[in-house]
Amino acid sequence: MTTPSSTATPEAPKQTGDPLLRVEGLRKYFPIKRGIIFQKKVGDVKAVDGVSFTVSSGETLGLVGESGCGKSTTGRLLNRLLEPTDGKVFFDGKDVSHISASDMRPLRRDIQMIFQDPYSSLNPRHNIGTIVGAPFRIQNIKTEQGVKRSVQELLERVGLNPEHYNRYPHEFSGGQRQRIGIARALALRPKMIICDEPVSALDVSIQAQVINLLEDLQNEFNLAYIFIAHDLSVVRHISDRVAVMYLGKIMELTDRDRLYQEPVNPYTHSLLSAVPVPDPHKEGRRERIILTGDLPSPVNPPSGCVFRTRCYKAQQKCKEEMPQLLEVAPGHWSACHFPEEKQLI
Amino acid sequence: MTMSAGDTLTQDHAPVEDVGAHKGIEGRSLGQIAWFRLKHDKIAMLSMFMIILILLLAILAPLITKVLGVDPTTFYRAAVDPDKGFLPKGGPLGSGISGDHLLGVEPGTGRDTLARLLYGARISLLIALSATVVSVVIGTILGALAGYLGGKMDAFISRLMDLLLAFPQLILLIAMTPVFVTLLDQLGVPGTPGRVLYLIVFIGFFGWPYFGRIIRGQVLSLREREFVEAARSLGAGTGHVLFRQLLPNLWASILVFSSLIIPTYIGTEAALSFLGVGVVPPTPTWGNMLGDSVRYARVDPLYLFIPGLALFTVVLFFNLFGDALRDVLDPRGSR
Ligand SMILES: Nc1ncnc2c1ncn2[C@@H]1O[C@H](COP(=O)(O)OP(=O)(O)OP(=O)(O)O)[C@@H](O)[C@H]1O
Ligand code: SF4
Ligand SMILES: [Mg+2]
Repeated sequence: MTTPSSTATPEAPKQTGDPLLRVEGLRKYFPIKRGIIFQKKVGDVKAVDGVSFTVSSGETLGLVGESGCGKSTTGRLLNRLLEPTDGKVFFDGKDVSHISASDMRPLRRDIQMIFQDPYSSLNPRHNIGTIVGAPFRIQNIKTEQGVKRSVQELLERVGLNPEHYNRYPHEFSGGQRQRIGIARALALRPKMIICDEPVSALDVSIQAQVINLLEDLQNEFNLAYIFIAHDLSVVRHISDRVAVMYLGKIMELTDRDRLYQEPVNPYTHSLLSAVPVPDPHKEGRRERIILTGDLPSPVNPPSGCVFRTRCYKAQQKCKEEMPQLLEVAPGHWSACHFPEEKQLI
Repeated sequence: MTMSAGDTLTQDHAPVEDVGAHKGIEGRSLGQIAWFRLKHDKIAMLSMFMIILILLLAILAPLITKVLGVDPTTFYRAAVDPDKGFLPKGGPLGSGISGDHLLGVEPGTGRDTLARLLYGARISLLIALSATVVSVVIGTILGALAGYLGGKMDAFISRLMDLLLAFPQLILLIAMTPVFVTLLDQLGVPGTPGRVLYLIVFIGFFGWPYFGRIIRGQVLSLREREFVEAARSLGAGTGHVLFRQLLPNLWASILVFSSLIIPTYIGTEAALSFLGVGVVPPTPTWGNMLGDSVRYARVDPLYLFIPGLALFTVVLFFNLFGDALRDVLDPRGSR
């Protein structure tokens, strides 16, 4: 067991060479201002508060946590729609934490995004050809067969009728729209796609189809995914590793199987006990941990361990000392003073 | 791999059925759908027809008057009675309506009312439409910038709009007109074109905050939509987001509020000319015709009634059309 300093980065176990994405101590504080003319800063929303992880090419990192824990903010920091308050983001070995918009522009081809809401992520006044062709136009890329042909190929690849090129978003269903969003993200052949709850707004039956499509594309194009979700059941299937976030911090980060079978962080335990288990025999033996109390505000997070106000194991030490994200076993990171020893099931 | 057909079975209700039923591969944009609905709205179609008719009459004024053999500035001495203080000769209610002068003549001068009405429409509509363009352009650009950029820019533009809306513009205009008219004269801009230009700029300028506020509000909600973020994550700059992503979503509001503000500008122009600070005779506008006719209201009531009716009709149909447009373009906005 190693005891790295707070800035050490939890890495994938079989790491070879530089990872595609490396995030170190990432922070985003949104200032809260009062006053109309003379604005005074009265506090900060600590949306992301010291997050570190890596993602290798072709890998999927699940990012899970309750609403408001900073998942989307993390995503926006990675593709620099937001500028970090502190910490670093290295993409392909390049520090992009504070680079200018014009320096970021070419890098945007490699980092794409898929959004949660299939209704608001497509411009209702643009037809599908314009929407999926936008990456080429914005990035000024000439394709061999012309934009139209490329768009039609993309539509076909995501399982849509290429003839629907001239149709408008309102003429498609939620699942189809999400495929359009995927085609747009795929257009420039990125290395990494940030999927911000891409299936949360869809019917359960369609969720699986979209996730299958994402997996197929990952295999075909060696894509890295950051797959954001608010419950552990959705990311289980697609993720290689999973990071569990709470109030802007990573609580636990490890391989998918390990996280689901041998979680050590009390917060992960609480989340997993909310996920139904298919086996009724196991379900009966399982202890249910109900999360009590409200989610604290990110403006005023609890002292010490941020989870202590709702943790079933919280003790005095949790209040006084902030637990560091430590490697409890090779490739298994957790932030807790009193990690769970026993297996979940 | 799964096919999209799976989606259509479980996920959606109306739109997908629509896609299937559609004959061609051509999609229907929201604009086309709105036009389709508008075509089935009788009041909208009637008011659109009337507006087009009035515009045509104004545009074709020189031709029509030529055919009728009248002219807006000629004094038809024969049509007025010098013995009765130059009031129109004959016609119902002392209007001087006759075969030569279909809507009578102006008391005092004998100028043809129909010719003046048609030529007046040109000036009145020119001022109202151009001022609307001025307001729309300034209001859309500044409103969109305020809404999209936020922060200090928003604070500055918003305060400016508050300030302008609080201004007593009519009083200001009355006070400023002599100054500007002399100034324009000195610059060598002749009377009437100078005054028309000045009214366009003035009315348009004081009206932009009305658009600015609406556009700002719309942009505030639009910029939170994920398609804006999608464009930005592709590397789009502010210009692309404003003009390519947001503007197409603003056209509906721009159209609706333009068609509602045109009639108020027609009214403003009329009021100013009525008060004698707008366009002055011999150039006719509906405002100065009304202003003139008040003096003769008792002896020649039709001379007051005719430009009044014209003004009322135009304002009414523009308003009806604007309302219909709003219902069609934004059903939720209907009150
Ligand atoms: N632009 C902003 N200005 C101020 N506060 C913000 C801003 N964006 C996000 N926040 C705050 O930061 C916190 C984290 O938000 P974020 O959207 O990252 O959460 P999330 O984990 O994606 O939640 P959800 O599951 O609801 O999408 C929230 O408390 C949110 O209110
Ligand atoms: S540090 Fe304490 S409060 Fe935090 S998770 Fe561990 S036991 Fe719970
Ligand atoms: Mg989110």
